[in-house]
Amino acid sequence: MLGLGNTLSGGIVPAAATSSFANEKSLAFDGSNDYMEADGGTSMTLDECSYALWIKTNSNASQIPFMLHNTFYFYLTSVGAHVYPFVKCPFAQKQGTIGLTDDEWHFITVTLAGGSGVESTAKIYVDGSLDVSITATVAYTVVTNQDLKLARYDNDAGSYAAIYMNGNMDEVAIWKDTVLDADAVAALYNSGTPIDLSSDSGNYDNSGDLTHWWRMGDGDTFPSIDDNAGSYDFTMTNMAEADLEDEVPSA
Amino acid sequence: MAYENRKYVIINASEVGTVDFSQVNETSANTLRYSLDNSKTFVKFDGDTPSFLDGKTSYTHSQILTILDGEDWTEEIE
Repeated sequence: MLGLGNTLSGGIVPAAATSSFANEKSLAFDGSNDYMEADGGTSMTLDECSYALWIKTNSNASQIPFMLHNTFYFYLTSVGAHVYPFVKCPFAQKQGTIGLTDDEWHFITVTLAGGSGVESTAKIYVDGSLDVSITATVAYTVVTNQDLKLARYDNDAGSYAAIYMNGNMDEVAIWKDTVLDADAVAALYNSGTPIDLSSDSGNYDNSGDLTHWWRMGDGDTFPSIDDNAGSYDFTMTNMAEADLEDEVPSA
Repeated sequence: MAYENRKYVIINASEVGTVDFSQVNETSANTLRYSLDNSKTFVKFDGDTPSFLDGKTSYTHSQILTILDGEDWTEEIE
């Protein structure tokens, strides 16, 4: 935070900026039944928005990092030796082209622009670059007041298709009602090193629009994962303290 | 992550009442993952086997993922 400091002569000068951002933890999900959900009574509504997360997996089995509803999720779909990014939203679904089963960190950003009955576009960015895009005009019911889950698929009926996440996740964020542009996404990727999402940096000028930000271990105490931009706190479910790992993306 | 010390034990759904959740990683009976026909579930632990699981077959991480990837436990969503 920038502040003001006093000089010995009594004049006021800008204090030196201090960087409190450090990324030292991520969460490891074992692919069997680990997941995160919010405390009871918390729900979320998303339509036009952007969301982003860092993921790392060595598995080619289908996985689900981010799921709000069975019409609104980010999935890793199994095709041969790899999983590929797959976005589903109320107006479209689309599979990406980049295989992610390489045990390396990848930065995923999904942007959803438009709305019910108007031309809408979904984009998947991988490592700061646009992978796929789909545009459609569809009238739909906005996904409202749903229980966001990380690392587990859960459908409306309360049963589930038993898809989980097998790998690490870090720095999960949502910008509600905001569509990040391509240069902001590239700035967030930062050549492979996460940045402080709460501060504008380079072409990332959307810090004021950040709605939710889970650091996935940094500053958290097991089993709680705090929302650093809002109040949507998660609980690590069926997990152990050892799942908070010193394994993070870094260029 | 490597899960060298993590073990998984499949139990019948009817045995859930015997689980001591302070000795396994599962949060509660309400968060267990069941087989698609709801007849089986499993618990996991790091380190020594909890006494209430003595005599049951334990699986490694890779073994349990192979089991869970089968049609008794998983269905695709697309």
